[in-house]
Amino acid sequence: MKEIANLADDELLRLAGAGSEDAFAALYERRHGAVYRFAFQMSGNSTIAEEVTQDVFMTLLGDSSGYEAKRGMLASYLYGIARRLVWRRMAQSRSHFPLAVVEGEDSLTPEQLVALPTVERDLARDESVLALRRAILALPAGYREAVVLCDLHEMSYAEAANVLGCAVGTVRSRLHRARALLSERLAARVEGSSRCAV
Amino acid sequence: MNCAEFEDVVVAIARGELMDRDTHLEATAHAGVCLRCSRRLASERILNDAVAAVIAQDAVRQPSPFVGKMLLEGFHERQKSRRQRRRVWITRCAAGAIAAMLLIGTAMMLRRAPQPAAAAGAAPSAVATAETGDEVTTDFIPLSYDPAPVGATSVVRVELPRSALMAFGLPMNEDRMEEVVQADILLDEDGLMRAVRFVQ
Repeated sequence: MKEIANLADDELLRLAGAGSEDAFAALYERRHGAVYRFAFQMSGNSTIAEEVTQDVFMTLLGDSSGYEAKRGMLASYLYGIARRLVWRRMAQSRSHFPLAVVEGEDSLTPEQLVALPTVERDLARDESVLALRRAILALPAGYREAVVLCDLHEMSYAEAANVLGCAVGTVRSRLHRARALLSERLAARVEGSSRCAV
Repeated sequence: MNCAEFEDVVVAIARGELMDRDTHLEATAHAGVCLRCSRRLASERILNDAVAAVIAQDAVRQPSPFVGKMLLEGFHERQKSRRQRRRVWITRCAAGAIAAMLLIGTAMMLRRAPQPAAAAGAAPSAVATAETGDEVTTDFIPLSYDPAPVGATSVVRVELPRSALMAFGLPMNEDRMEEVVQADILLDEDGLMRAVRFVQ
């Protein structure tokens, strides 16, 4: 298992395709977190995120899996599948996701909650985190994708462009506009709270 | 640098992207003297802090273990169905190979059969196998022995008394002797009757 965990994604996928359960488990272990987080950040809904995560890896297992190593990395391919599934799920259950943003903390374990910083810092941070999550979910689709991939998943413009299937310049301009909208909303919130404090 | 130029680079500065040193210095200098752009840069930095907080909070976010369990079950199911498909494929291939071998064997046996028999029997049976539909027919029964190969043939449908069946050694109900029975007569190119078969 240790040796398998060191293999590249492509090799793990090949072995999983040949029937190796260990290879599939290693691939899932390596990539499921990013896929889940992407789906959650895009939808604001942990149920959708779980369903998407499951479907992404089932698609990968399928015989019709269209992954080609020469067209990009497996991680980008997984993000691409997740992206399509997220939009499909969200179209099916539009009414759900505003509530789920508030429910976001439900998935933290008691240990993780204990590990969080002090209460004061926590409150201030959580307010801005929640505000940012809401602002991201309110962004138009293309802008939201750019922010989630480039800022929250720290992808380069080229990597994000590969996932989104568009030009690098498009990603750059979408991110620029998205950040302008987000910072405007966050700044308004900060100003509002400082006025309240006075 | 003016405000429009500053707007072009403010995101890159806030995100710490690699950029030309001079441009960076000019932008910083502009933010130092322009209140609006200074606020813009500050708001981008607030956004950066919030983004970092979201990343930190989400780092521990995981799907439930149930998802992984379901996927492993799905993996096993797929492997099982793949094995089954492979088994069916192998079985079909084997059956096909056996059928092909039987056909080849039969063809070879027919070729080795004596020529006269082929002349009288093979051609009629070729006609007989061509018959389709709801009709049940006997094989063609040769009416004459002619060692010469049969050329072009034609089949004529006729009605014969049921007693004709007996003449060819076929079982017949004596009570229905008066009834007629349908038969196909195989004629050669000279109009000679070469074989007959009975139709039900």
